[in-house]
Amino acid sequence: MDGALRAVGIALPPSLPASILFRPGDLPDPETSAEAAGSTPPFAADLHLDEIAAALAGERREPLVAARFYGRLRDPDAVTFRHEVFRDLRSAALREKLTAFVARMRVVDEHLAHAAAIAHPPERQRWQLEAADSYVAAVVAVTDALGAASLGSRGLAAVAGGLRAYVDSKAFATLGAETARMLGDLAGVTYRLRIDESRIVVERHDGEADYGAEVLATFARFRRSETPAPVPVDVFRTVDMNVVEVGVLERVARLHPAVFSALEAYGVRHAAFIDPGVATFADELTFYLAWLELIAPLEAAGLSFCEPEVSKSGGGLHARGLFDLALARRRVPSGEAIVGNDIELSGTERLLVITGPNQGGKTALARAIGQLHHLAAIGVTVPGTAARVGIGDAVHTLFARAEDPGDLTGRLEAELTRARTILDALRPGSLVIMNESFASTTAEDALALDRALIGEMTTRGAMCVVVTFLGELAADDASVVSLTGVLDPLDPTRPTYRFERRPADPLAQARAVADVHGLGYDAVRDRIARGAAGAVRGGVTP
Amino acid sequence: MTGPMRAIGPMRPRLLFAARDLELDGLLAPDSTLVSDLGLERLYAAMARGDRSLDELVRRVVPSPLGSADAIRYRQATVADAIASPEVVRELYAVAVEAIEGERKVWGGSMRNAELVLDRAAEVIGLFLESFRALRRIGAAQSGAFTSPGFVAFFELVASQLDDAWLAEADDHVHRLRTRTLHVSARLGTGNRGTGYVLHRQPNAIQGWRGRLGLEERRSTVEVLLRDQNAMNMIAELRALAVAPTAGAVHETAQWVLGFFTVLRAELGFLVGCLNLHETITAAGATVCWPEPVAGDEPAFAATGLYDPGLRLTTDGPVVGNDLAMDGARIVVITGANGGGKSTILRAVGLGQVMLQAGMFVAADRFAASLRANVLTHFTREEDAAMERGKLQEELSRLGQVIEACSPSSLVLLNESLSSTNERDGAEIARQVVTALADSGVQVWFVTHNHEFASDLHRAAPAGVRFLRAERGGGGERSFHIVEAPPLATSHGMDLYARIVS
Repeated sequence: MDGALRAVGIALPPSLPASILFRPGDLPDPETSAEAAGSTPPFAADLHLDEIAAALAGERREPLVAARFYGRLRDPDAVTFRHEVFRDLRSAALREKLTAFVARMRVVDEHLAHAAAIAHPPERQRWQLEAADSYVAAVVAVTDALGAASLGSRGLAAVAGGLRAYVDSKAFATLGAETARMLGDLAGVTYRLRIDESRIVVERHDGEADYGAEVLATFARFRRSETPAPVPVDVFRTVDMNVVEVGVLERVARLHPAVFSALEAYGVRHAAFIDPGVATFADELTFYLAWLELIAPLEAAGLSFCEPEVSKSGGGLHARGLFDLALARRRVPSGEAIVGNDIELSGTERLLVITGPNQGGKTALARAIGQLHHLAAIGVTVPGTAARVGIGDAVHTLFARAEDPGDLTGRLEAELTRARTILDALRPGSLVIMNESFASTTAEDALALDRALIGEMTTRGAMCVVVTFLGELAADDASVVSLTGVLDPLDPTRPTYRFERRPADPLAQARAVADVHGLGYDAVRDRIARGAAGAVRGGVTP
Repeated sequence: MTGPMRAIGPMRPRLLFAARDLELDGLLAPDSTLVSDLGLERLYAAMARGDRSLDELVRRVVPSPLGSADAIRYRQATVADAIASPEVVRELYAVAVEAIEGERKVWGGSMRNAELVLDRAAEVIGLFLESFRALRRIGAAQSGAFTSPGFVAFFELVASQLDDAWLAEADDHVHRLRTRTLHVSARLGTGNRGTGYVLHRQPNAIQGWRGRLGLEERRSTVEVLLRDQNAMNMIAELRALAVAPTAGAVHETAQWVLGFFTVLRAELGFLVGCLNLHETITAAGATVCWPEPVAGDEPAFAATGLYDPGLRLTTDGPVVGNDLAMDGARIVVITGANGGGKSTILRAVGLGQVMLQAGMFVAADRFAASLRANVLTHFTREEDAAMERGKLQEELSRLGQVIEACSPSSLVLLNESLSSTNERDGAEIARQVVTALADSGVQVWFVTHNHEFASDLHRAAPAGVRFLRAERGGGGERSFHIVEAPPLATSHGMDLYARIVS
């Protein structure tokens, strides 16, 4: 939320000590929140998590959203704490009301920011009054909504109790009553203007009729529709009242002295009306609501999201129907299908090798795994129908980068430098994603580099996901899990985006395409035989 | 502002429909296939005579079928009235065109500043009032010659709704709306800013308030210096704000009246198109008739001397009419020689149906037919007829589009359909499609060279199937006559070969 809101609210002690993002006593992880305060973490761009973060922050570019998005939780129960809130938010009715609350609190914020910038008292006081009006409505509505809901989450239950006490307080009741009365009085103020080019006379309004209606009545015989046409009129207006309008307002105030002196007194009495706890609640809600809003169109398109099972560290990696969230966000609006895949790394398995046809979704699958690892650790629901993830350590990525030097040696150097940095940061439970690494060198070289690096990583207890065209990597030993792209038997040139757990076969696509065109080994033999026979029958061969 | 009553006003021309306006937006999107297959281009050209707006109009109205015999008779009467008094109809049309052109020429049509919108709307209404006076004059002088319910009601409307008292009241509004001192009231809105501006009637006389303000009035006056451009802009802004709701209302009013003239121009435009076509066709010596819409479930189609008016418009020589007594027919199969006029008769049938349901005259001596939801065509063009890879798929997809647009009461004209595949496959698909269409109630006319299809159907002889044949004159010369006759085994390609090649 905006600074103006905080500044106004700071005078009062918060009546809501509860957070819905952190358990009582928990604090944001110092390591990752420091990271978040600065720039995005290094893996974000490779995994397209930066796109997700930007979408969550929305057009308002709320900085706190990004900070929370990259702020990992370390304790599985802290994750559960957020899952509980998501479970409560499955109620569409509650979700709708909380969304409305956040929107209203934004309006409050905007009104106050506006008021702060205005010097002219009757105008400024009115904005403050409108802010208070929105605030009262927002707080009452959200308190009622939470009171009516059956809440299972520790977070929302604590907030609901705090809000009820606040709404029942005498101070809040006074604010509500005085705000409503003041607005009613102002609504009763009317006046009349005589305007010519350079002069405006302000007078009492004595209830003359609407002349436009008279004109409409005269021409009613030509009326062509039962609904009024949209008015094609733009009135150019500055954001705030100009001196002429202020002059008019001053004279209107003179016509209605009692109402305007009451407004002034109101402004002094209710200079700071926002409870800091309420502001924090609205703020924290945006994290949940933004996530639900982000995944809603995907769920509507039939994609599943689930609550992942999280453990402190290790425990392998397990996912059903996993998909690349960033890709899905781009594809779903145009109706393109998204294919989910199953992943299983268990027990001693530490290496997952992904092979398959070009453009067949290898990188997307690797990204999806990396996203899963991160999303599970921030307590949100994750793509797929089921998932089990360790949240011991962050995900690390070794992808070819656009900013790497153009010459091959430089490129290889940059890549190896990054690999070194990753190795230094690895802990048991870390996940490393390597995507077509060392492509700038020969295949033989790359294979050797991959083997060496993977060995180092797995020794340190990290899990590795490797996208490669080097099928040999998948066959190194029995503990390697090999996922390979499935070919469409009817049209092998069309990607299926499906992967199966079986040995890599990088030449499969080429052979299948040949078969379809009758150019497979057997087909070519057969055609030669039939062609010859046909030629004989046709009598061409002498 | 708009009051509780939003009933639709009575000022509607109703020349082409008894109970509704000609709303071009509501008409079927022009079907370019129908236009090219039936040769409607030639008809439209004769109706529009090079006038672009007429051309646009007739190509929307002509192919939009009227759905009932009453609606057709109503419009036929209007068209007949127009043919009887062409000068009056052209004069009325000119008034409508001038009103619309006049509106377009008033400066500031795209302005959105509220004061300018209000000024412009008032000026436009003033302009329209002149056009109303012209309609009154024509009506007073000429309405006696008109007998159709459409024209009679129209002239009554002009006389009763645009009377002198109303014109004076409207003039008064135009005058008051264009005065410079605004009288408005308002209340306080968000941020205590004025809102809910309502314009009040300009008093009849302003008692020189400018420059002679009392003390109390001075205290309640905001005044700016004329040379202070910034402050003057603020007043202009406030004026715009204050008149915005009224500007919207008056603009809407002007749009209503413009809407009246737009409909009037469209309806009269169609009549002018009919006049043009009638003059051209009859000048060429051809006869036309008022067709008879036939009610009832049994399909009816009977014509004598039916010809293709498009051919009449472009050929100097004699155009042969055909007699077709096809009452009760669900499937009409036309076979016979190439160049024997099969396509021409198919076009004449389609155009007859289209013109019947447009409320127009038809190019025949006599024409009576059932009403159809629409006319759909699938004409195989020469270049499609070749058996080529992919052509069949393409043809089938076009045929699929025809089926897509079909309703049980459609008229479907097929010309050499399914010739992009071999005869056997074509016959099988044709059998399926044509039988399915006919069984659904659709009337199908099918020009075909597919002998297997035609002769199989002839052998099976189900009820409601009729066969026409392009008749061959003596010595191989084309007679361009169509007779009711079963399909013959051979086509007449050799005739053409003999004439053209040998």
